[in-house]
Amino acid sequence: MPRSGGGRTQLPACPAPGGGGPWGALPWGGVLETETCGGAAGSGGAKGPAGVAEVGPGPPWGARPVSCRGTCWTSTSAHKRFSELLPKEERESILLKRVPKSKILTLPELRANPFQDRICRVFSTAEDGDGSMSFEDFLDLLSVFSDSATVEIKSHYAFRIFDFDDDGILDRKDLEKLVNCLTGEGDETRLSESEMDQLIQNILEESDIDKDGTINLSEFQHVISRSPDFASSFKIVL
Amino acid sequence: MEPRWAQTGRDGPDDDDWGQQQPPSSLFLQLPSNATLRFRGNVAKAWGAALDEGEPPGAPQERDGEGAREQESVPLKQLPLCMAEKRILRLREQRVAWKRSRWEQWQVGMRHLWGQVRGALLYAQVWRGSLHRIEGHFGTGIQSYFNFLRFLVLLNLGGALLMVGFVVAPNAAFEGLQLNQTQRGQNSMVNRSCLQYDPTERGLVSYFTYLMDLLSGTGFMELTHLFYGYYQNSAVDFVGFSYNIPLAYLLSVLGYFSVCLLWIVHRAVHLLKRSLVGENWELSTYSHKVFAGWDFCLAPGTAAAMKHNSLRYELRMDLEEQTLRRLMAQRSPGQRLALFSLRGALNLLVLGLLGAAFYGVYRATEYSQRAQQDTSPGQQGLVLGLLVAYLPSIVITAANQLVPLAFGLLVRLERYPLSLEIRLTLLRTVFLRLSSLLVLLFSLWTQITCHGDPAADSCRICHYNHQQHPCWETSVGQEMYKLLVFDLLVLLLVLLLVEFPRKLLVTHGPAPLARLLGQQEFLVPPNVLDLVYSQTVCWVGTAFSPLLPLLHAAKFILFFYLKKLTLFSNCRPADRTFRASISSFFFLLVLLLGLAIAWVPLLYSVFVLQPSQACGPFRGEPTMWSTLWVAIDTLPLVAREFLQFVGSLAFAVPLFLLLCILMFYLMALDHSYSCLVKELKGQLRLEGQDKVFLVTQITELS
Repeated sequence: MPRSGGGRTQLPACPAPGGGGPWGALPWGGVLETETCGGAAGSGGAKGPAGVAEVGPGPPWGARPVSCRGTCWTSTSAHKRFSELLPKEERESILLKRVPKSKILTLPELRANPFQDRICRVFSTAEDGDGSMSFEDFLDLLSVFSDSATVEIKSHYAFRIFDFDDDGILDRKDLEKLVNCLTGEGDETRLSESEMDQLIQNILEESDIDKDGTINLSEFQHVISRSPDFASSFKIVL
Repeated sequence: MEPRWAQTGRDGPDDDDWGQQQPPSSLFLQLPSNATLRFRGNVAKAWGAALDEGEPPGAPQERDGEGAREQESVPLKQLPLCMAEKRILRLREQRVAWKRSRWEQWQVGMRHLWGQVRGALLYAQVWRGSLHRIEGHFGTGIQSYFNFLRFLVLLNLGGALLMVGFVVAPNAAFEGLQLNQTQRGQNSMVNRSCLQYDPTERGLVSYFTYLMDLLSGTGFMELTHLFYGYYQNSAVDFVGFSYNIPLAYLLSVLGYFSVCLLWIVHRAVHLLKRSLVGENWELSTYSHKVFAGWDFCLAPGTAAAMKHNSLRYELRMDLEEQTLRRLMAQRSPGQRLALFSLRGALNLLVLGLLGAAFYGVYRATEYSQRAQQDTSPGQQGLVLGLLVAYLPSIVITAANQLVPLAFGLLVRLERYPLSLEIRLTLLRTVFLRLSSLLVLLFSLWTQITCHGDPAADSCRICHYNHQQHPCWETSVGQEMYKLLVFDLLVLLLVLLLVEFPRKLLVTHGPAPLARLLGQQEFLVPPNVLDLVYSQTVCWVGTAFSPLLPLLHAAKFILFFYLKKLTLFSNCRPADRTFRASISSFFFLLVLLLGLAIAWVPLLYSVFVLQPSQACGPFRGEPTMWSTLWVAIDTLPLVAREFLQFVGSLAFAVPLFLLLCILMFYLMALDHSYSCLVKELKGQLRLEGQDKVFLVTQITELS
């Protein structure tokens, strides 16, 4: 029952980006070890740790690993956790590999989550849609779920996660699936038909401003912004 | 109610292949309100596909000059794009970067720096690891209790710093360095009997007297820095200025209260910044419970299963309550009359219980004080002596534990909806706890001032009861000290004698007994009220015992570890989810109420009561406040006139009127904003219907 995983969380961010240094696109101030150089004015960053291979046929901008100056723990612990999911021989080229969904779901932080499948699908950039995640996707996930991400971005991703049929709106079926995820797996844990109908009716009454029977992104964000609990519950920390 | 166009191109989704439906109508996809789909391209399968185009569809287009500047105003981290797309944007930004002026570069640099400082501060919080563990196992509801406890520890440490820095440390330093202290305020007209005050023990002192003294603050503990009576009414002259001890004492006590007030208000506003805006948060309970209901930080294991159960339970309860409310609204007048008379009778019963509790506290305090003066501790024996000394604390604690149980039973008979029941019981319990403290103080006051009658026998000479209380401020301080010690003792006893045995019984005892007792549930509201009560005791006592904030900080630190221990060893998660945020605001409100109550005895003693002649830094002064006036008289003329004006009615009344006008203006503004919000919602509804109509028409025509 106690959590596994040692690394601590929210730690001091990386040094501020200069002209072409490591870029702080992550809420906790960056670390992303890959640096954008390539065609444009990329001034060289520091050399990566020994043994990390250069990227071969990667994206056109070519990613070079840059050592984080020792203060960016979050990504170091993320790096460690991610590399544990890869088989030993692939750990060197961590930036290239994708981890299949089944392995991602073994992480204790995701194992108990009823939305685990949706999370993997939303954050995965795999072209065949199988939910496998690269290291960058993993970092994306951590940054959205971190303490310092804003409510706007959290609510945006929450909307995507709750949108089970991927049509850009939350309609009755999405809401039904959502409530069933919340109340637990198994037939005896579901709400009855009438309870479900009443509940969805109430939710739509509260959140659906233009009364079209569905909740779109702005309505969702409007409702969520008034919930002070949301930011603290929509959080995963390694 | 589903519009027709929404049904085109979509069959019922299967549970297993979410990614393989037909995409919805393409016109619908292009609408700006479907932004999330746009970020994922036309086909909502995988948005890694967007990379092939080289231009993420959702990314803002490149513009030069002001367009680029607009782009910067939304930091990259707040864009919901995947890493690769952010990289492209970053590249573009860097290309534009050299076009920026120095001012903008400085701004950007400052923004980055501020982000890092904030990140560092987030990391540097005390007890972060423990709170994280608690959150993982028990959820944010119970974590809010520990958050509150941590806040109180910091508050008390800050206050202790203030008091120790300006009152205790200088006095200790002056004594240690044996500086020359010039006595002030010697009034030779004072009757000799008022000046008699000698709490030290004479003759052979037995061992258990020391223990008694330690536990009740008498004897050798009385003439220490801990209590008011030890300080002198003197000033120490340095080169250029003189350190006026009574003035320092008064100002640091007032400063401590003001700092506490500001800190709590700041935290309360910070906690509820968003929810204060707009409508009542009651209106979105279902949405909040469903959308923000799952704690993503729960660890696998029983915590997650319990969370499912508690969510289901809560949703069911709310739905039931809704049906109940609808039924209640349909009651006939006869039923309503019966119900109201029942509620009236029960409320009278509640008032009767409260009155009985208060009377008990009053008599206990009276008896305890009288018994302590009449007999010396040596004659009574240790246990009896302790019992007498702690009688008020015992009665208060017993009342605080037993009367809320009665409230819980009574409120169920009143047949309110569940949420109202909980709130009503909470309000009544708050009233009980804070008022019993007031009753204790009232009882002390009647003894000190002979029931407020300055012409009574014992009070005629010194304007206070100098035989029973030669140093009345120290007596009050001692009562608060005893409440502090007793609270801690009760916690330890309950832990050892109730919680651990219960856990042992439940896990190793016979099954029927285990089922009957059930594992203990960590209830947040009673625990938080305990903390508020302790903090109010601290505030009331600080004026009379400057080291009390420090002792309370130590006590709360101990509380944290003991409560964490009992939480992990003995408790299971709660059945009903505890709404952390709104309740945090509620508890801060109750804390403010406690602070307001603590101001009352303070202001009364400072302005009205005569300080003891025999002890303390205000001996010989008519009131404590007069020290301040004497000090103001020594200031230069301009400052003196200004301060006198600020303190007079000519300033206070216009200020009050101005504040009233401001308040009315804000109320009118609030009313007009809510009207505006209603109108806008109506407009949005119309726009939605327009959109549906237009899209249908276009789809049909094309």
